[in-house]
Amino acid sequence: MPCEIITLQLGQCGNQIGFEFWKKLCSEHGISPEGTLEDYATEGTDRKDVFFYQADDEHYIPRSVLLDLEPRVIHSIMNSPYAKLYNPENIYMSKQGGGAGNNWAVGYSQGERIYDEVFDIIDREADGSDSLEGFVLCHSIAGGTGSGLGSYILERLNDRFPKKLVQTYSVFPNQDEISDVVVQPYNSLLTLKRLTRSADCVVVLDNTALNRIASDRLHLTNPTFSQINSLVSNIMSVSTATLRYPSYMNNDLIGLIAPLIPTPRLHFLMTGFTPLTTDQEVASVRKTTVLDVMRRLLQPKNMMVSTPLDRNTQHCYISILNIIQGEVDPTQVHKSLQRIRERKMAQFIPWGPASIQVALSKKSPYIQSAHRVSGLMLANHTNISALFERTLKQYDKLRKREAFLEQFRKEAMFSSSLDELDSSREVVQQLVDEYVAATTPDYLSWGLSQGPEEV
Amino acid sequence: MSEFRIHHQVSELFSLLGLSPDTAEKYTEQLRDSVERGRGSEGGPSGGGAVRAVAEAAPDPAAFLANYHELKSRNVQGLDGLVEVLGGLVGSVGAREAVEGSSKLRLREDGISLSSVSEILADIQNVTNTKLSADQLNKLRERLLRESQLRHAPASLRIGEGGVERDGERRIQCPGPETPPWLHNRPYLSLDFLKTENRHQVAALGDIASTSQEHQLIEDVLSVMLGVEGTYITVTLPAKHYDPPIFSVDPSVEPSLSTLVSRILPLCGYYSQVVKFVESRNSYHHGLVNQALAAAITSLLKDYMLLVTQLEEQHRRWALTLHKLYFYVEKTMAVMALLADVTKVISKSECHGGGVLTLLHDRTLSLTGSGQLQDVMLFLTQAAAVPYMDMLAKWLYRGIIKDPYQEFMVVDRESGREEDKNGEDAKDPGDDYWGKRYTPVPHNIPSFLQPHANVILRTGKYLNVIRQSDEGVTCPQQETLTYDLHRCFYAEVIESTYNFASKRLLELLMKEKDLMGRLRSVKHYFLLDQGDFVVQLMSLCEEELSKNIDDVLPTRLESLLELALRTSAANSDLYKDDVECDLQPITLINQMQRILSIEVEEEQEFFPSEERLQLTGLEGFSLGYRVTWPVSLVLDKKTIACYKMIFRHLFYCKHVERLLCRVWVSNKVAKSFPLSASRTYTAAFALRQRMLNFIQNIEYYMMFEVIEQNWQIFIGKMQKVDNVDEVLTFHNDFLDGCLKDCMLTAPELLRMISKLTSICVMFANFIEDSPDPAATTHEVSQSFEQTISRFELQFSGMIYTLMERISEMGRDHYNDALVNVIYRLDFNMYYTRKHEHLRLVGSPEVSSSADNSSRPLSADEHSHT
Repeated sequence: MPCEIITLQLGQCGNQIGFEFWKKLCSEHGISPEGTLEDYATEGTDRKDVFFYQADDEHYIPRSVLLDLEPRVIHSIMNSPYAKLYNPENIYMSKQGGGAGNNWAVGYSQGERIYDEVFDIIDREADGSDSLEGFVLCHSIAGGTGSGLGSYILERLNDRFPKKLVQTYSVFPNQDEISDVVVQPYNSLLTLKRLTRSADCVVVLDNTALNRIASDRLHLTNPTFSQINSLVSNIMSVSTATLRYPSYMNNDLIGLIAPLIPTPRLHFLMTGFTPLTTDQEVASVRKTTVLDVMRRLLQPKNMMVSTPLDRNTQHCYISILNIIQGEVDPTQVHKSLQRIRERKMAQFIPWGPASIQVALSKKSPYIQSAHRVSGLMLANHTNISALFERTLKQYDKLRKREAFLEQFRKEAMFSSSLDELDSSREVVQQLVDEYVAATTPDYLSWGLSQGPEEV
Repeated sequence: MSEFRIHHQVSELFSLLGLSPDTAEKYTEQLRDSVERGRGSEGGPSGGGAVRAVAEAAPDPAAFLANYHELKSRNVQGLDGLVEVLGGLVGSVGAREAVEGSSKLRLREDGISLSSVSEILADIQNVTNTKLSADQLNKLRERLLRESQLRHAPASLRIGEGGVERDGERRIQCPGPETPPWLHNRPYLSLDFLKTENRHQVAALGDIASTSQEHQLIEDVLSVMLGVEGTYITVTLPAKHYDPPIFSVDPSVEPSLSTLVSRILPLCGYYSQVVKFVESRNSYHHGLVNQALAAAITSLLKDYMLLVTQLEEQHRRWALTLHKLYFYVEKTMAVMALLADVTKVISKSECHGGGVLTLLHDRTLSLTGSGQLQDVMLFLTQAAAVPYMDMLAKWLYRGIIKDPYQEFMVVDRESGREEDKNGEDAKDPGDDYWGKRYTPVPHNIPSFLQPHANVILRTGKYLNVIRQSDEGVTCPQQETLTYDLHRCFYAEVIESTYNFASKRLLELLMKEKDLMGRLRSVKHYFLLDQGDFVVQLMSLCEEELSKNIDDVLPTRLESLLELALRTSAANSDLYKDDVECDLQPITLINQMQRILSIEVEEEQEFFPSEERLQLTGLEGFSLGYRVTWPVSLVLDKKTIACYKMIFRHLFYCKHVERLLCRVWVSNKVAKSFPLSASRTYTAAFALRQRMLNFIQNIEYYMMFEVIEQNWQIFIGKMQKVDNVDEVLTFHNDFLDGCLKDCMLTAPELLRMISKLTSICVMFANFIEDSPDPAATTHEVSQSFEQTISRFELQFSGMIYTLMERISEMGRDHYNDALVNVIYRLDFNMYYTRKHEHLRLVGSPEVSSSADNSSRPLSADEHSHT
């Protein structure tokens, strides 16, 4: 089957998101928790084979690899109704079970140790698909396993499958509350370097914004992890909708992300989703027209990334892709685009043509929704650099005090020097600079004029 | 006749005549007007004017008028039309000269010269050689030319009684079995007068007493009334078979008696005419309607004979005087006069079938108020219509034409091939079936059925389609159709059978043959509605298709297609097996151009061979689709060809998109390069982005804004559709809309787009071939940058031209849809601004400030606040 995608779930956060994601996919495709096709799932127009393959007994098995250095989350998955869904051979738990202790360096070095076993699984999955298109990685960048092991696997994936796409759904830590992970800025910075260098497309899921959306938009006083994760899984499933429900365009991953990412480094995407509802709250059905949806998607409050709204800077969209689901008349799309253009609701880069691409996608026939139209925005916005700047700031604060570095020094990578941290900082700083440069018309010559000076 | 056809033929005619095309418009107008007028009233006052005009121009007006009336009485169809055309020719000097000129030109080749239009007018008799129909007015001109040439061919000079030639459409001269020879050999079988060679010389009647004279004359009159020559009333047979014989009474008869006799004698003439008609119509080739009419007339003649017998009986009893006789036959005389007149017109015009009925019907109508006479005509019409109505019923109820003598209003063009329709190897009936197979025969449509002609034609056509799809079908309510003057019972029947047939066929197509499912499946493949199939197909066939078209192995392609179908979501499609591969040795542009511009044949010959050399499989690749009858009614070859064109266009765009995406993948390594190294590629990245933006927007526009939108409209219309003709129309509208808005019908735009795509392809190939960036020297990267900037210039230049052209076209043709492309391409005004910028840079006074990069930025800022 063409264009298969293998999902890698790393660490506590990654596995939780992944679990919700598969739950969602199963319900959309009419697959029971055991992997069998539900009786009502007779419409054969969807493509399950992008994310699932069929076992000998016709069971659908996710193309998913579950990795963790501690057993807690995976155990809870194995105790859920969905336990039989996964291929047990694709689940890897570290034998020590000690986890990474929220330390990037531990996760990374653990990765070196378990490399063979993990890549056995990945290779087997890759071989089992006819024309693998890429990998999707779910992880958080703050903890130990997701960030450390994730970073390691990213680098190796890139070596091993240089022509395959690597897309990540990366959860960024909540900035509003004090984290119990004190070394979080280090972890984030080190992971960001790998995300910049080794991932082709990073969908940034900012916990800060997710929590804000949960409390502000969904009116949940104390949003639980699973509520937040269902938001995330929603984004993941919709962003892959055009792959699973083929229509005229955007039927492969590359076709989705290539137009979003003009230059390879600027590959951090924000997402927005509307209308937002949870299971509890169905009552507030608003009027959803295409224009409403597209307009709301451009509002910062619906974005899953919290960035300070800085009116003074020239931050702008590099590209936008709206995936609109539901019964949509293409004329409405065109009218909405015209309206957005006339009202200048979105600012775009001055150095190249950019537009709001719209992908119209079918909805799963098995899930009833109160909304006629829903939309997901994948946007490449220069303002995402603010997120990295914040990370840099926090890192600088810690680094100045040389705080909590002992744990890192224990690992081989940092035992002799902390150069890795510095180089990571440089990479992230360059990324921020590039994003800022991308707001100016002479972005195309930006690196060139700088280049010779550096040499 | 559609306006388009008139237009086309007029312009063709004009180019033929070497006239300037600007007057063509005027003529088209005129023709359309006259066609409409012609429909309204046959031979109205306009005809009269033209006749006068032509007569004035003719060298011998009296002769012309005589000829004209002669033809008119023969009920020649289209006569008025021809005269009108001639009148127009006489009136307009330019056209006349042109016609003369070109006919002279041609005739000179034959060594003959045509003196003037008046000679054409003299040739008007030739026109009877051809069946002319009122609504083929425009063809008349061409025919006129042909006729004027044909005139010189000796074969066609045979004009005159009985020698009236039928044109090619009448394939068999005398259909039906031969009548036995004795029918002609034995003259006494006839009830008509016989040619008597040796008449006995008798003494003059005038010598005897007047009562005896009267008695003898009555004796003679009674004989003559039955077609036997009398002793004192002699008969001279007429020169023309449809004229009455000439009677001469012995001149010595008392004048009062002679006058009385001569009053009665026309009746005998009528009798002779009618009997002659009845006898002549007995032969097969005159057709069923004529025979039925003859039979009806015979039954009337029986009454007439009864009358004569009764008269004779009285005469035997000496109870009859000439006065009494005249009194008795007076009423009959009117009826017989009517019969004679009707039969004369029919024999003169040699019409048969529907034409006879038209004549009878019109006559019946015109006799409104004449009581008995109308009843007689009604009786005749009804009787004559019986076989025709039977045919009609068969056609209406079962879709069968049983018409051995070409009398029916619908003709089956290929009845001979019907048997092998079901055979596997039989030629697909779908092509042109609808338009060409069953065609109406205008001169055989009885005037009382004229308003229903279209409905009748369609009813039978529908039934035929159903029948040919192996579905036995008969109309549930089958009533015998009868002609009726006032209560149009047949109209209701026609209406109800039409409803039945159209409903049944629609049901057959939509439900049993699942037309919509078919169309949806065609849409999946040809309009790329099912994207994953195309993606799959492309990745499978890429290698094969990148070869030269002559090296591509169709069998391998076929199996790859099969694989792609099975492995994509198309697998669930019921009709996936009908998709096939098709390689066309010509690029889409050339194909479109060839279709759009009518080319001379020689030009077509050498066209493909040279381009075939560099044509890759990708450019020539297309899908095919096997359709079975009756779905092929909708999806005929022409329609599939339209689908193919759209497919090729979309497919190539997809291919380019894929190439650019591949460039993206191979470029993604750059992110791990050191900053300075990766920055050298930024220009290339930006260009690739621009290309991708272009191709995706074009695709999006074509797919969602054109195809999907038209499809939705089409679906909406199809929900309310209630006959198959509408289905065809809607479907064609859908395709036309798609072709037009996908810019396929505008060769200029298409050429630009293909230029742009070819730049994209060259760019992609260049990037793919460029050496590993890590190992590049400074010089190499220099030349790399130069090449990129060259590509950039080409691409930008082309895209500006395209956008300008589109906006121009949008302005000119009010084509909203096309302008949408610009909106999409230039959503953030990048091109507009850049164009503006270039313009400013280009002008000398601003070029110095062009380096100031903050200027456009500030302008930008300004526009946003």
